[in-house]
Amino acid sequence: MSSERALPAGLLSALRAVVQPGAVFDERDRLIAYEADALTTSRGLPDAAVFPADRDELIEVIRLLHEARVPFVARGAGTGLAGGAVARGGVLVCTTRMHRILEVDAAAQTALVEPGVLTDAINGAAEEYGLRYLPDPASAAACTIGGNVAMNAGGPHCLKHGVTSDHVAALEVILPDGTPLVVGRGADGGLDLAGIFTGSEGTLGVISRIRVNLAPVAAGVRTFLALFDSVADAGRAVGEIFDAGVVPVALELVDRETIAVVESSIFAAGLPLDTEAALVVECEGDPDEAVEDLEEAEKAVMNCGAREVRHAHTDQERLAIWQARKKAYGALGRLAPDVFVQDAAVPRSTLPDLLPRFMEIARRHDLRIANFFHAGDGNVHPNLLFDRRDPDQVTRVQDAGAEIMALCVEAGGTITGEHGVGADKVRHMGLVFGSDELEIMRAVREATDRLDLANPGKLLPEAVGDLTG
Amino acid sequence: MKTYRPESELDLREWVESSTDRLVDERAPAVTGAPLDRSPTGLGTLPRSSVSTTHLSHVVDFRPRDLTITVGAGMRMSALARIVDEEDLWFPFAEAPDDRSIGGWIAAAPVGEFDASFGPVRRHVLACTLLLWDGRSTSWGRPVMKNVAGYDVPKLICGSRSRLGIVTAATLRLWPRPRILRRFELTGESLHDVQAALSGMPRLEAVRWRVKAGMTEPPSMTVSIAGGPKSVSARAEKLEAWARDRGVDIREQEREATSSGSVGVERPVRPGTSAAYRVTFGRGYLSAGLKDVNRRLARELDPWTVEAYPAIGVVRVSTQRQEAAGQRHAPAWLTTLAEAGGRVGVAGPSLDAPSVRIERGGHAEHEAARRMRSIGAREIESRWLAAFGGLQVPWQADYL
Repeated sequence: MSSERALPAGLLSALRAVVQPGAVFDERDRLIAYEADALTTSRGLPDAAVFPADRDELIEVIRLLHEARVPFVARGAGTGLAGGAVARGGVLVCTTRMHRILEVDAAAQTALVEPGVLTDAINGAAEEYGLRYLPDPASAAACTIGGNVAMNAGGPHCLKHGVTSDHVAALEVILPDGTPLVVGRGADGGLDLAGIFTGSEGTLGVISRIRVNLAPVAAGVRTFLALFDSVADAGRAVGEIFDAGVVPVALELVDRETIAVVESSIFAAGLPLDTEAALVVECEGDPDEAVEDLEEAEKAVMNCGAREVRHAHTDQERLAIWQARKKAYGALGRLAPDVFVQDAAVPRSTLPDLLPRFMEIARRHDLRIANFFHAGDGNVHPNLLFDRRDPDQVTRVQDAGAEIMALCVEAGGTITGEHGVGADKVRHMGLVFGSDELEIMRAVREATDRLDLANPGKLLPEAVGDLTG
Repeated sequence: MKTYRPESELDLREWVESSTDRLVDERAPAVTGAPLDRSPTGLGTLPRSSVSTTHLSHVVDFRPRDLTITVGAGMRMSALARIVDEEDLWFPFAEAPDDRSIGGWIAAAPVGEFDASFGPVRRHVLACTLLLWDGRSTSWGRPVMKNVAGYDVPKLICGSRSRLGIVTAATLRLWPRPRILRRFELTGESLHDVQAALSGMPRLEAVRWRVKAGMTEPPSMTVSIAGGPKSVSARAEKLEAWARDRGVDIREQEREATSSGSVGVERPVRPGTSAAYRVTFGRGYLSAGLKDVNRRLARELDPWTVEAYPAIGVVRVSTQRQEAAGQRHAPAWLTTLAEAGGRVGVAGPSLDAPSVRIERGGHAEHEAARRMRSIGAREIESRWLAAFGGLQVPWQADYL
């Protein structure tokens, strides 16, 4: 399919001239490795892929693509869950070779990094100064910071500390015509341009450098796991913890289906299989403060009918709890070949009502569903299990997914809390934006990309037709 | 000059559509600032008319269990504090002594004492209704804690000084009321080096440091400690011991006076008589930066006050001007500081936005700030303002 949109003559050799040897290829068998990101249902092949090694090479690459009027898609590690880093024709610009940590400024508590740096690697570099990068997407060991910023990624610990956008101090973006632009948060009295580029999913340009904020490592961290006989009780406990005046750093819910699959994997944490739902609650601060907050949280979950609370007494026990939570996605592979990872955010108080309704939708479409999500933030992941080789299952998954989205929006929520719109959710954008808002966002995009070159077809729906899909 | 106070968004819309003097001030009666392309002198003279959202101050939707509230832009912080307090909830910005309106607070995006521990303005505006300057009413964001659908337009609105449009209502992120919140006032010479002082203190949720012109009085510091009873009293004891050891006067403030129920002083602002600047040094460079600012300020004739927010590395300088309205020159200290880049002692490759921000002032100062911004950023900003049909002016009202 990509051969129909062959690249202009001479572009490949022009690209080869500005990057390192071997950093451009167009062989189909090599490109296939890049036909999807972690959302495996959304596929497409680029005509070529290019791997600039630094900012200057990236600028040259974008300039050439702009000159040749060839669309491009920026891609980090390809761990995205919205099909945002998939190219259908054009050139894939991979930032994975731009992986230097340029500076850790311990006094200012910031780090200047290239986009291809792994999220966890920032922590590795900050550690010796007693600092850390706070957002922790579950894929932090594999995903890149550039991808995190492009999608405004979240993670379990965003509840207290905030999402990626809250930790981006400044950015350098290569605009779609190849012009580099440094943007901050409007500290100069201008607009908060970094705020818009963060989460713009590569549609406004390609990120070339990022200054992230770091924070001191907390002196005290305390974690427990609360087991419940009902999902609704666990949902209620979430509200009860806040009512007690406690803001945990993380507050995660894992349901029975997820527990079963994790317990049968190498990440087993010894959870009883008859547990309907488990809450992971973590508090941090000064050592005595973490203990005090966790005590309050424990009272709250017991009030809501938790049948057991298991404390992590050692770092090892704490990590085991987190491994069980963070590796749940991978473990789902034991149940089905494919997982349709859902991501929506709803007002927290609607959780006890919505969770059973997600289950009901799955049942009606004869699908299995596994919930593990950021309950404290109301950021749900009702994941649907299926086999994409069966077209009927694919249709049912899409129908069930659309129903779940509509339900979340009806409850006051939004179509994505942390994974992004990408290619996957463009059709749902009309659920949360009116035509004026969509038109304005299109104008914002056109203001930097008149030729529609940067990640075309993502984030924003076309300006025609009925958008309430 | 007439200030129009619409009773509804619909009335405001009519005003926007019919008005030629497009100036907004969310907090009557403080009104100032003129779009530069419209004022006859281009120097901050008063516009012919203005609008205040003071009557758009109702609660649209309060969801205590979701930790969100949606209110009209004219609601004051003191009123908001009272409403959320009844449900044991808390909004950190309502602790500030200046009783801003929500709309003015969003438009100006001021520094907050609790920014380092709870996040700045931009983290707290989950959604808002924005009346565009062409009369269209648009809605951005959702009443949820996380949302990455579409461009993050609420971020662009925060601090935009109404250039994109007028915020008529906003959904705010609330917090559970801290189980204990204690506030202390410290005064003493040992506070001069704010970073050194802080390194000996326990962890604090909020710190505001200040010194007055000439430094004839010792610096003072307002600090807050929040959390569970054990942790708060342990930290308060440590703080008191620290103060005793260094001869620093320490007094605990009654919380009631500063939180719910405080009424702000209504100060009409006359353009040109006062100015405020925010200089971002970055955490860790604050002491050096403060020294630098004080050295430069020593040559200024106008009386000034310097405030510092060490946890976010920001210094705020405010002055009472001796010169009359419409002064043509930015103060010398500002110009030289801006030329120095506003950063002190930073080594290595740097990627920082220009770091001097004019919070209040005249044409000359705003032009100086605009020049500090890169040409590229100015260009993108201007194009994006056009996407909203927004105002292409470097500044708007004062939003006290």
